[in-house]
Amino acid sequence: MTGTGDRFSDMEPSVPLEAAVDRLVRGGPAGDDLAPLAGFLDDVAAATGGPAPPRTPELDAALRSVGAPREPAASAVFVAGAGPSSPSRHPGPAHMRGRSAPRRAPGRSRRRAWPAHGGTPGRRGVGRRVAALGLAGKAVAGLALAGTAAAGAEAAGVLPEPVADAVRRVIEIVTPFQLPDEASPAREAGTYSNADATAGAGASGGQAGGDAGTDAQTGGGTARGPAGSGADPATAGADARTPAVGGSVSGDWPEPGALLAAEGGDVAATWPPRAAATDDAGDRQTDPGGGATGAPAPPGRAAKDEVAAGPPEPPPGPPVLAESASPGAAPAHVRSADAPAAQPDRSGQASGAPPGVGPPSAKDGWWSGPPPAVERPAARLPNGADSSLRGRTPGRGDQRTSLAGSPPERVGGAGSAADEGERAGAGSAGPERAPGGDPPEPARSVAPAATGGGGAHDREPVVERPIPTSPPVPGLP
Amino acid sequence: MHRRNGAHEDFATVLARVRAGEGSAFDRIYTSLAPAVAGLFRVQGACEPEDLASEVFVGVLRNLDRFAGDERAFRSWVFTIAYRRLADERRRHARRPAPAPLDGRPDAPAPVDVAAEVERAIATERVRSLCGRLVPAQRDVLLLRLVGHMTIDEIARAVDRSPNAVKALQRRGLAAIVRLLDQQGATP
Repeated sequence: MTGTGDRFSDMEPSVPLEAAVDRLVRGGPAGDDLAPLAGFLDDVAAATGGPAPPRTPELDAALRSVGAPREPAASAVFVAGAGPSSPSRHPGPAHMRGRSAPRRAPGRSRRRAWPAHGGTPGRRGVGRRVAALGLAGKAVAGLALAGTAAAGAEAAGVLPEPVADAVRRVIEIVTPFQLPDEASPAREAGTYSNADATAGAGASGGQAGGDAGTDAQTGGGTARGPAGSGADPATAGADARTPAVGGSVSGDWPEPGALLAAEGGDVAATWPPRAAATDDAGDRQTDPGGGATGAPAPPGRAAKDEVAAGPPEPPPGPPVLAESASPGAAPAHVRSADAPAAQPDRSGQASGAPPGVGPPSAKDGWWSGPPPAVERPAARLPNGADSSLRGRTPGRGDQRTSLAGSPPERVGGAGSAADEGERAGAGSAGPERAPGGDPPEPARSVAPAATGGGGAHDREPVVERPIPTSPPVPGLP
Repeated sequence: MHRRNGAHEDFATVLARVRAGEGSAFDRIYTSLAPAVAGLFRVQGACEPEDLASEVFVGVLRNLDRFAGDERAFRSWVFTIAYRRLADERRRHARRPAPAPLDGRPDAPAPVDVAAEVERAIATERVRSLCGRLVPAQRDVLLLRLVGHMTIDEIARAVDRSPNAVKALQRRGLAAIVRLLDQQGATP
């Protein structure tokens, strides 16, 4: 059977030629069969005959080096069929047995990480390599696998709450990543400002008050709150979160002993310790219902989002450096009266700053007072509640705030808003608008529902602030 | 080959002397095979056939320890090296064109036998004109067969083809040569 393109006219006369050529190649006489090719064969013989070309210097050098001793590896490797290969501990597959050893560079390891063809090893290959590892290698591989699995499960959110929190903490400690908190409502709502209106939380058993320091200051002011004297834990644990107006706030569940709950006094208990805790009227954003209802925050959870929702406003004070609170700094409850008085708060205002240094706002009143003392009697809020600073322990929220790098923004244009009712009456609140596009409304003070009238249930006034939104685009309905 | 040149020395002895670094023994091998190798390069259209032939023998000397066989196997081995060197040359020129010769280069010294040199040049041109009309694979097989005196199996190993494929290439090449010679009427 002939293939495509084969022509018998070409094939038939070549058979005797092949035989004649074969005889010629083997040194036999060229018969008459090569008559059709006689002229061609003569030309071939003339073209390939003649004197030898002159030798080049390279050839002479190679000739001189022939007698010199060389490395014996070259000939030992490439001679095929020279003999059976050296017995090996791993004989290899059956089709490879008996072959000579493959060529390998002298410094190259015998064990190859991946197959030579560049592909990834299969399951058998992986299992073989794992089995070849030592005990320490297996342990390390197991730990790495377990850690990866735990991290993945935590990221997927399939772990139980305590386990997930523990894993998250570990991840945040050992890696530079900050995992989001799925359980926090702040994540779902976008931006939250958490003042942690845990009014007087530390009264009972050293319950921490929350994040008023950092969070409210991130919003632009110094956190202050009512004194936590004898607070009802059920009420005190309120973790108030409101949508952020201009600040980034996050809060953590108060850790035991974190709050320095001074009896009837304001205590600088914010975190980081440099944050000022001076005034008695807190400038904070509170959840309208959070602090009032006193609903306890979920344990171990904290609001952490810090993205500003409103249009950014330039911070009135110098750049805030207190945002870079390090976890290793002294906790809030450590700082007391012997702490330096003139510490810049998170809005850049020094607690002991002279009058006029602070931002020009309706709150200048509390700046104009004497340098803030750590231990001061609690001021009486317009609603009669004692205000105090609530401490908080260093939490992720602080670090996040610092990592976010967003400058603190004032809420309502005032850092402290010492008297929120006063500010509301004066209309000093910034051009804030509700998220729904409502026209700006002055902040109004809402009496806390759970205010006990200055006792153990003293609550600070809850301020509802309209949230600024972007101005309407002209031309659009 | 040595017996053809009038030498009565065994090939194994000559090869042993070459391996020992003796220049005269290598001269016998070189003068016996270098013209055919250079002619192969010449009819194949190589740019520098003499230089390529020299490179082939450099490779022979470097790998002489790896060779084992008789005179015929040695010739086949040398032409296998020549064929691969030619393939390298083709690839090199495919990537980079050959440099143009200088205009004012001096004339080469006149050969000793001018008539033989002219006859060889004419024969080379005729072979090149005929082989240039063949398929490259047919040309390679035919020239290795006729110049290198290699067997079908040796050519098959050299060109990485099966012996049957080499046979087919040789058959078609010979038939094409016959047809071309008939068309030209150049059969003497």
